[in-house]
Amino acid sequence: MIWYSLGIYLHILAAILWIGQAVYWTMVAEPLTRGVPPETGRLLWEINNGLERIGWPCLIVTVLTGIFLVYYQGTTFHEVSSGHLLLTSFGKALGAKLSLVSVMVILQVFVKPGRLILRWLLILVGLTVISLSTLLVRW
Amino acid sequence: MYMIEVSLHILAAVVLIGHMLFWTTVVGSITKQFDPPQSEQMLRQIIQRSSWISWACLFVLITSGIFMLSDWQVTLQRVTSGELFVGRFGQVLGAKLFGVTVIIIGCFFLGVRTLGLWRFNLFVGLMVIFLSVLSLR
Repeated sequence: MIWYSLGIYLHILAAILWIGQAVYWTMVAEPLTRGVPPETGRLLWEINNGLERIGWPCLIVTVLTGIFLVYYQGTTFHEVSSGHLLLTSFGKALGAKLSLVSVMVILQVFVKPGRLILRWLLILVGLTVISLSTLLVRW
Repeated sequence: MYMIEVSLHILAAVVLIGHMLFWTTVVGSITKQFDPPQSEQMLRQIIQRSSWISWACLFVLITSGIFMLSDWQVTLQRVTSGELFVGRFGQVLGAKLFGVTVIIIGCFFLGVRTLGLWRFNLFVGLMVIFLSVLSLR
């Protein structure tokens, strides 16, 4: 049970750090850099570029802990590969979540400074994944 | 309705952690030296201008938390009498509420030269998330 709780905590923590950093920078911090002297703006951009490096490690932790949590709940590889999992309501919600996570992975590859639309899309998809996760917890 | 409350609760936590993580990193990077010195004043103003987000997130967290407790039939009488904090769930919830209180108090004193407090607040925030996971089980 302790491993399961630890798995959930790491899963949620990695997701929160990844999405929280992206949300905060795009919605709050980046707009603030426009009204400040260039040196200060440059400093904030450099710090955010450093913080964005947590994106890939957080993604890896999220995926690995997600696999562990699904396996711990008794889902087998056969159920996933044969498609039987998708016949249940839980499986459909999980399938939708995993599809959106795949979209996030692709977006993470292409998100760069200045690509605001991609950044907003990443945030929107991330928040949708969080909402789906709250549904899955209640199953 | 409950799912909306939970989603808003988690969303507010996500943004708040993002806020604390960002400024802990900023303050940590510049705390050794301000070059030029007037950048300290500039960053102090930026932190103050962005502090509204932490208060907004805390408001959403507390409000959605109260609605969620109400959905679980937790009454004010059970809270004030201490009956809620007898079982495991109540004890974990009590610890979580204590952590949130610490964060709120910390938010009043956060600034450009308070790196230790930024790190402490972030640490408490991450512990509150851990307690939330425990209370789910």
